[in-house]
Amino acid sequence: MNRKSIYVYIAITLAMIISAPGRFACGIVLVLELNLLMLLGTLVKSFIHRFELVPVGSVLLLTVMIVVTMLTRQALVLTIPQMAVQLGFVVYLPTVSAFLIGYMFGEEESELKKTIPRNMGYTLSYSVFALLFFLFRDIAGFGTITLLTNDGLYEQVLFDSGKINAFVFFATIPGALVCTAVILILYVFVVNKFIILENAELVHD
Amino acid sequence: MIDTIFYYLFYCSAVLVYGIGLNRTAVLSRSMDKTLFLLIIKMIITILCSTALTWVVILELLVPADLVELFPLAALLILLAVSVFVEILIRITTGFRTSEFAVSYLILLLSLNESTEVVNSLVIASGCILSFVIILPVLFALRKRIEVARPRNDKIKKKSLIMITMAVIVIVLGVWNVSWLNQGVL
Repeated sequence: MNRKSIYVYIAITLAMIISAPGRFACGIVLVLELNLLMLLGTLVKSFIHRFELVPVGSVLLLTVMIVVTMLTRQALVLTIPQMAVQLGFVVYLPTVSAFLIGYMFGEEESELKKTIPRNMGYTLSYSVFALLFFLFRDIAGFGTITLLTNDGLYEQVLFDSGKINAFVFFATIPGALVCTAVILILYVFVVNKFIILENAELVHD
Repeated sequence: MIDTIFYYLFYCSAVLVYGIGLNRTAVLSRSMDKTLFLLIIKMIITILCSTALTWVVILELLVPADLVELFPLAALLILLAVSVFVEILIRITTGFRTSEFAVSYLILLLSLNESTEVVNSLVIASGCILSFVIILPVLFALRKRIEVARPRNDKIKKKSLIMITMAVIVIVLGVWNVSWLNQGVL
């Protein structure tokens, strides 16, 4: 992972994950929405270039993304209403996040065959990180794992979260911020250690 | 009215609790220059005009047609139109570029979503804008403090320290909810 991608990860984490409820089920919904938006956004961008709609491309792309978000919200209202209420305003955060806008508007257009795997690769790799983050917050904060089922939300209780009050902090917004910061510090620490090892090997050789 | 502004400014800050522009504040707080000032001016004009216009559209068009759920789309189209107009004015008069979309749109959505009338939505929007504006000098000062204290610090470490401090600010703002200083707790 290079530095640019770390900054992208920080930006999307700040924009999308921090303010979301610390539940694994919420993470699943947001990650699915992010992937759907990236896929449709890439297709629409290709459509815009193919049919030479570049002058109105930005407005068209944004409109499509907002419509997709609205439909996602309506689908949630119909299928899992409690999730729609729980997420509320957060559903709109991935749509205007730096991640999607950066990749949609920032890069030059190339062939669709290359663009889709590249963009979906970015999104899927981030999705794994986001899901692990949500899973940690769910387990540490509430002592549960929440999943989406046909009947709505399913909550698997792992332990009584009241017994370890200190970890409840990670379910809150400041807890998520601290968690992100700690992950970054650990990452930098590990990378620096590897650099020292590489340098030592070079000197030894 | 003042209660609502303070609610979105401190207790339930649009930036720190709702997460609107959390990443933008981290970027914009790098320097306090004229572009930032113009960006804030543009945001204020754009958001307040769009909020009032969108509210009228919702009331006059969407409510009679039972299509209130489409308000984010109406808000987007109105915001884009107003934003482009204000952007052109700023570019012609000052020559600066002040492109900003995500924060303005999210504040607009929040103010429309949580209001009961047009004045209420304008007050909420003002509170959200203030919460965004007020956090910038705090983060700028924080960055300077970290730079002075640890000049050879890694950029990622600096970001981590800023995030931890933001967490502390959230706790400080929310502590009144449980503080023993509150009346009725003891």
